[in-house]
Amino acid sequence: MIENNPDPMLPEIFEVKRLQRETADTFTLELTRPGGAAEFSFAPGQFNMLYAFGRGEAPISISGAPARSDTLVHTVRNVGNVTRAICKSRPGAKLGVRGPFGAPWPVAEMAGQDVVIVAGGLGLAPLRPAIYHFLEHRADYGNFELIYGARTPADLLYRRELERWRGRFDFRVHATVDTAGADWRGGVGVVTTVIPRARFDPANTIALVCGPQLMMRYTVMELLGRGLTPAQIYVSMERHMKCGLGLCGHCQWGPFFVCKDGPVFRYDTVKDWFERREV
Amino acid sequence: METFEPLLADQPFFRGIDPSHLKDLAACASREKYSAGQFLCRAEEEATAFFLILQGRVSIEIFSARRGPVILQTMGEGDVLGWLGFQEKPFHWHWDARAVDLTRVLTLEVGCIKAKCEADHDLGYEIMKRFVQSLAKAFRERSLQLTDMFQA
Ligand SMILES: Cc1cc2nc3c(=O)[nH]c(=O)nc-3n(C[C@H](O)[C@H](O)[C@H](O)COP(=O)(O)OP(=O)(O)OC[C@H]3O[C@@H](n4cnc5c(N)ncnc54)[C@H](O)[C@@H]3O)c2cc1C
Ligand code: FES
Repeated sequence: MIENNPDPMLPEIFEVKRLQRETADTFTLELTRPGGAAEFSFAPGQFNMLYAFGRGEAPISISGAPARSDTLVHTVRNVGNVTRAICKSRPGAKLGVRGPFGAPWPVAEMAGQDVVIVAGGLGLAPLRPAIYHFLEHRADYGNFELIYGARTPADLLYRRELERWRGRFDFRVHATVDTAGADWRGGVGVVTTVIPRARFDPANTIALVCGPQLMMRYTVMELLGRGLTPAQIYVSMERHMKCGLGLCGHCQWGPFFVCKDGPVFRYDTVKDWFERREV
Repeated sequence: METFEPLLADQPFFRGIDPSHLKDLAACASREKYSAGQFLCRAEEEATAFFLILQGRVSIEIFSARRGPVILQTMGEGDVLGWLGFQEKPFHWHWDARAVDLTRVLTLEVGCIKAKCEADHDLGYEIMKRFVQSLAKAFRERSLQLTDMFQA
């Protein structure tokens, strides 16, 4: 049976099984319960609070396959105190885990639709579980396009996996970077330049978008320009968090608590807040 | 001999143009094919044509003595590469354009198009509108690229 931690405020101890460098400052960690006890169930788009002992906690998306729930996978960029400690852990090190938390990508409701995923930089991490889901249930969905942008080829996450996905006939992968040397075989140009070329039927498409706020804003504009309505677009938001449970108010964004109402929001429900400068 | 009118009418750049203009444009068009690695144009060369990409991919590159070729942008099907130099002086390419994959293009001869636009200002206005739109789009994209969204 799949069992998650019953007390959501209490971190459960996990052990780092493997650590893989993705880019200069980003690592993917595989965590297991010591002794390999019961599995960890989550939905694509959800996050955990990862606790680095003596340093503190940070919300980190789950980036592994929902079907492979014996291992918990997180991709972490070293930007500060907690994430540095997490990225420095070595196999055998212990981390605290609370979760999973938050509203997921609506992967089941998307059955029968074309799927467009637009990811920027680290934004591919929370989308990867959704990609695994769509690939595993490929026959349930229409056209499937992944548009992934990063600053340079060295900043792309999951390079080998991207190359494998590109080789598939039932999934179009567009990787694009802002600048590159002549040995780069992918696209050069911001992610928004790829959207006009993506194949989908605007009347029957759901788009999932995750990346830096500016990238999401211009991506949404392009998607609306291609005929999607705000209700056909989902975005994933980031805010500073403490409890992860909708109790402390740290992650408040307008009328929403990002940890509980989000991080995944349907764009029409947050449109007014998304465009405000001061929140 | 192939008539280019239907092909031109299909291109996003000319979408919606009055069919009467297509005949004039077709007289300035030819098809070209570039294999991967071949240059469509090189920096400093006179720009005597612009290209509508029918198939394939093209990288726009500048050469830096220190870094070698740096790709500024890649273009694909439906994109316009280059623009009309409406000024009197000959216009020269500012960068290299190299086919990444096998690339087919419609090549439009600049001198020919300019002459047609001078003779028929309605056509000139249609072409100008489209170039302004295409430049505005390129400008927007370049500003976003410079913003470094991943840092912001
Ligand atoms: C729902 C959710 C999911 C997330 N998923 C991931 C993930 O999968 N992988 C991952 O690496 N990170 C993810 N983050 C971001 C991560 O939580 C923060 O980077 C982390 O909390 C920073 O903590 P720190 O102590 O390391 O840095 P701090 O010492 O708190 O901050 C160091 C510097 O980083 C900046 N910073 C802090 N938070 C962020 C942020 N969210 N984005 C950009 N800069 C920030 C600060 O302003 C400061 O300049 C997610 C955040 C949310 C809300
Ligand atoms: S983090 Fe406490 S309410 Fe969201």
